[in-house]
Amino acid sequence: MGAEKTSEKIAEDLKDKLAEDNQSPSEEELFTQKRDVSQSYWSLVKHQYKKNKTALFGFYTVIVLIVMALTADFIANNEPIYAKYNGTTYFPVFKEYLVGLGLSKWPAELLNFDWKSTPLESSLWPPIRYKPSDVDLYNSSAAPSASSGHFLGTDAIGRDVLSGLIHGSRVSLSVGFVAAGISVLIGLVLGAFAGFYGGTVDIIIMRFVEIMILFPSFFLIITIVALYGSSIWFIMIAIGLTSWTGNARLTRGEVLKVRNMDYVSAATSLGLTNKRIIFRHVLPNAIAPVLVSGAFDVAGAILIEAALSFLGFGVAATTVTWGSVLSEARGATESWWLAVFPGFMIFITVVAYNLVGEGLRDALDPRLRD
Amino acid sequence: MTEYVVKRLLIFIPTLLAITFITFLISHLAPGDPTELKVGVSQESMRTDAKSNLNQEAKNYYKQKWGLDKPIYTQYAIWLWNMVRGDFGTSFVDNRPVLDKIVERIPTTLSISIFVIFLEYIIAIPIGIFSAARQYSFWDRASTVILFVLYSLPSFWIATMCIVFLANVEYLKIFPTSGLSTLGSETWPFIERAWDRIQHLILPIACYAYASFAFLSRQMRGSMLEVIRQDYIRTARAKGLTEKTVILKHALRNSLIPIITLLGTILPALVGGSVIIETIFSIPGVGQLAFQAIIARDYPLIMAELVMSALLTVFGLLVVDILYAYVDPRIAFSKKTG
Repeated sequence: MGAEKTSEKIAEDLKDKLAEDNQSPSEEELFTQKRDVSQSYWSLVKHQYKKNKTALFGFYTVIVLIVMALTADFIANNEPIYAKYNGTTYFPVFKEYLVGLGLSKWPAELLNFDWKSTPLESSLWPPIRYKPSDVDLYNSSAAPSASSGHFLGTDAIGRDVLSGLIHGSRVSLSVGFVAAGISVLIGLVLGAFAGFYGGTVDIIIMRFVEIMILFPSFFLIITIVALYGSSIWFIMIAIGLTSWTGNARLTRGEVLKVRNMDYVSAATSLGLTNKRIIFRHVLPNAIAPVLVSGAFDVAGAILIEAALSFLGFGVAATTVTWGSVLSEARGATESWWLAVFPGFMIFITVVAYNLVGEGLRDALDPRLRD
Repeated sequence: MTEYVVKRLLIFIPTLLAITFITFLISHLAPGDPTELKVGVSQESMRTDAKSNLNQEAKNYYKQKWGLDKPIYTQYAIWLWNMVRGDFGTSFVDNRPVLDKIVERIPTTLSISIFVIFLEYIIAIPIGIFSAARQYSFWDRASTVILFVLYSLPSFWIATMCIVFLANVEYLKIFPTSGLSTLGSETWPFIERAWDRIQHLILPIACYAYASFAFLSRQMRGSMLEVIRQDYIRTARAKGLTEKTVILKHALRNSLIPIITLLGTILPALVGGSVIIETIFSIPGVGQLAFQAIIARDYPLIMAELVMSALLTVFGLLVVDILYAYVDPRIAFSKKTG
């Protein structure tokens, strides 16, 4: 009995000592620790991603580009954001949206109104007072200068380069996202079917993938865009339809890893349909690597679109894109600004998406996690 | 080995059928009429009153001549049968056999591509080895950043910048702007002609090379790092070999294996990318021809270009397979008998 007591006492002493050494965790600390353990997979990825400086830089660049594309009308426009004229207050840029939607109409005297040459009682202008299509006859092939209002110069017929670049980001980003979206979607569905069902389905889909890999895709894209007309939709679809093979292979591999896990067997034994198992249970656990590849796909699609408009196959000739401004430099080699700035926009965008892709890949890699 | 190559080519036949069929449909079902482009050129010489009638007649003539009046499946069957016999048809633009037009341009594109690949491997492999051997050193970090930037630089931008800043009287006129040789250089002595050719080729080759060179170096570094971590390298170090011997003799060979695979993707990619570079620098190669064919809706030429690049891709894959067997004795094409 005595021996028991001493051993108990020793144990208690030890506990106290340990507690003193470690300074028992406060309630708050306990709480945070608990939260750490129950952290979800994606918040862990987010945490890991945030530690990567260059990846964060890529992410913020992407955000800036998206904001620029969304607010292009407020950054570069030939109408004021706010104007007071003849005692009435107008918001011409907003109004233009409403008119475009058919919700509102310009008063007759303001239809095709030239805001710039009219003296306004008060006004707030966008920083760049030109639309990409505006032709400034007095300033064609003008070098970049702040005094003329053409901060990055103009092209041979007097269109503002900076305005073209800002509005051009819309074409680039939408092509990038939609094309990559199509590519990821096709890849996910076909890859999931091939991996989940196996057998004949797998063989047929993978044979199809092999055919698509041997396809000279850039050549096919040019052919489609050149023959079917210059439309942003054709470009998106053409790029999406030719770039999904990598995603399909990735998804198939991931699904093969997940397919035989216990929770999938459990779902099967519960009598769930295959469709539900694939889309609700298998794919969410196999999607991560495809997202990484999706970020690279966006960069690739933006590059292809720029190359297409550079060669003159892109969107309609009246639409100004990064590639189309760059291609003008070939005809006007004395205008260095036509070569430098649009190319730099393409470059920085591609770098940003590649950085996001690499950052995501590292953040998803469990070997790099501490 | 021969057996393997033959098998590979046999598997390729249905793939080629599928590829050509899809492209045939895409190009022939496109809106727009190649006969219109053809007739439109000679329109001026016709008298106005009879114009529309004559025009229609001329269009019908060409439609019949080119077989465009038949149903699309028949057209494809005819094209396929002719192709099997080695006849790719004649160009819509100048009536020359399509095969001749391509074959006379292949040496230009292929020699540039092969030289570029050679150059890339020569530079990329040492850089990759060096970065991997001194991982996390200053040079490793610097080269990683530089290679990443190079990899992300669009080649058509760099090509345009080169033309604007390095081949332009306004700024620096170091290089000639376009083409492969100066006009009238045929009569020059050999040395001068060679020098002229080199000057014309420097910019295009640099623009071709840098992007996949960056890609290759990164791959080389990665594969080297993978090999260095293996047990046999530790053994080599443990038995007291110098670091140089360990890296250059023991690690290098195995780390080269994945790099060789990339040859199969780089060669077709270079020829595919030649559409852009050859158009920018006005190099008379197959890429420029493809560009012209698409603009002119020259169906036979488009189809022939496509078959050529698909064949090239398969050829690239085959070369890789064969090289693989040489560098990695674990891979065998057929079961060894006896």
